[in-house]
This record gives sequence, C-alpha cells and structure tokens, in this order.
Amino acid sequence: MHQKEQLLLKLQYQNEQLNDYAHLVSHDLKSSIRSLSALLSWIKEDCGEKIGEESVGNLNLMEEKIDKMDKFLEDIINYSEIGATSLKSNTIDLNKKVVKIIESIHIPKNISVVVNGNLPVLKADARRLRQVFQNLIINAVNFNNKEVGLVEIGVEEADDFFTFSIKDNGPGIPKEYHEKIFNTFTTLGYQEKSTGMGLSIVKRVLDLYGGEIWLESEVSKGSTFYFTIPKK
Amino acid sequence: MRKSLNILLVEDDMIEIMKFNRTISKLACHHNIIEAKNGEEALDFLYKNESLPDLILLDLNMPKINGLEFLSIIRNNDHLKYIPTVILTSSNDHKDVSDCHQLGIAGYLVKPLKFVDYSESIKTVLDYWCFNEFVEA
Repeated sequence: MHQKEQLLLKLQYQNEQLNDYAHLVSHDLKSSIRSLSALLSWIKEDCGEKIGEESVGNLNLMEEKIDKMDKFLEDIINYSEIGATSLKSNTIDLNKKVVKIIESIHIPKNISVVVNGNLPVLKADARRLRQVFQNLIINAVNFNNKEVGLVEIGVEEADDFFTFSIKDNGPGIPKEYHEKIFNTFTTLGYQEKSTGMGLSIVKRVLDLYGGEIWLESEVSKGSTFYFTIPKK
Repeated sequence: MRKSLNILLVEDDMIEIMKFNRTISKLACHHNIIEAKNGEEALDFLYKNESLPDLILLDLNMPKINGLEFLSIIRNNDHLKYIPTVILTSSNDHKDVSDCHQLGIAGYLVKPLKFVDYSESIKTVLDYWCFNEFVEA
C-alpha cells in the first residue's frame, strides 16, 4: 500500500512536470513566433516593391504558416492548462453565455447558429465551459459546406444531468472516425484552420466534470454532437 | 494637455525592443524611452536616478529578476510604488493575469501576433497615458 502511494505521488509529480514543460515551451515558442511575424511584415513593408510579386506571395505563405503555428501553440497551452489549475465554481446562465460565445465567433453570412429552447443555469468553471461550447460551435461553423448552413444548439434535462446537443448540416463524419476525432492532433483535414486540438480540449474538460461526449452523423447530411454535464 | 512621456521599457528580447521602437518612431508624439534588459537593470536605473519614469512597460518572461518579481519589488517600495506599470507579454496565462492584478498594474496587454495589431495597441496605451496626471517624483 505504501509503495502504491509513493508510485502515485511520483506519477502525479511527473505529470505536473510534463504539463509545466508543455506550457513553458509553448510560451517560449509563442514569443519567437511573434518576432518572426514582425520581421516578416517589415520585409514586406520595406522591400515589397524591390523583391517582386512572387517573393511577396511567398512571404504571405510564410505568414499563413506562422498564423497556424500560433493557433497550434495557443491550443496546446489551453490543453495543458486544463486540470492543472483548480476548477472554479461560477454560476452560469447558459442562455446569456451561449449568445456571447456565438457573438465572439466569426460566422459567414450563409450560416446561422440558433439556440432551441431554454438553456439551464448551472454551476461550473466559466472559462472551461466556454471552451466546450465554443470549440463545438466553431467546428460546426467552420466545417460547414452547405449553401445554407444551420447549426442548432439544444438541451434535454434528465434527473441527474443535462444532455446538450450541437447539430449541424455540414459534411458529416464517417463512422470510423467517431472515436478518433477526440484524440489530440487528429483533424479530418477539410479545413486549413484546424489544429486537431479542439475536440481533445472539449473531451478533457468534460472528463473533469464526469460528463460524456458522443456523436451521431450521416455523411453529407450533418453531425450532432451530444455531451452531458452532471448536475452535481 | 497631451504631453510626451518618459517610458521605462523593461524587455530582454532584441526584436521586441525593435518592434517597440519602430512603433514609437511613427507616432506624432515624441516619447523618451529608457531601455532595461531585465528586472535587475530596471531596478538599478530606478534606484540611481532622481527623476522617475512616468510609465513602466514590463515584460514578464525575463532572466535574473523576472517581471512579476520586479513588480512586487516596486509595489512594496514607497518611492516607486506610484509609477503606473503596464504589462506587455505574450502570455495570457490566467495565473499571471491574476497575480499581476493582485500586485497592482495599470494594464495587461497580451501582444498580438501581427505587428500592425501590436503597433495599434501600443499606440492606444501611450495615447491614453499622454493625457494623465502623474505623481511627481
């Protein structure tokens, strides 16, 4: 028993170290990327005419890559922070919260995001809960390939938990990927912007709350992501 | 009345200093910049000089005395505690944000990725402080 406890402590310590490490490295890389981005923009500004259109085009491609790296690092930082800091217990009116999240997302004109029915008030860590809704809604919006896109948010209440749903009429996800997509760095790659971290962050947050996540999907018709959050 | 500012920039990264200077050089208002490479150099300057800066712009990640340590030292010093200090960092780490606010800061700026956005936010901060009254040292 004593040995087990020691092993547990050691593992816990190593886990924390690993988390800290990911965090630290990501922050360092983030500032390097900021420097690169600035230097690039100065070259474009100072010598754009001298180096010609093609080179400016290449610099633009570099800038896009830098953008993506930055997004990546941000996601790694977010992921490594989950569980590292203790969860707060904020009282959250999801009706207001979800509207705020929708407003903060860039949504193309052909896509509408609607909330069906009344969402509950619950106690959770506001930042973490935002990550769950935000990442699922962003996915539903970004991957949508229909002329008229529709994303619907709903909820059903059971005795002990809420089941939320985010439903889209996007490209759908083949059955063989239904588990895989929750792994870190897995993306189905339809989208240049995706880092493959969004759903892993969602899953990690839900794990902390003892919630579950799954999906139903039909290829080319759309997907519905369901997740539960226990009431207590 | 808009006035020009004496600014102490505490930053260890050469390119970050270049970014700042490039931004400043394009402003209508001329500011006087004092550069310090880390918290130690900055403290050295503050202890030795009779006239204090109007504003401190502070990076958090630095060698020797880091930004948080520096902040805690000046906030506990009766002579230096009035200098408004704005954090300039690439970290939006929740703990950093709350630690800094607890010690007392005049702003917390997370440096945007794009230089144009960075310039815009620096310009906005300096524009604001240009119109402020300061405790005379």
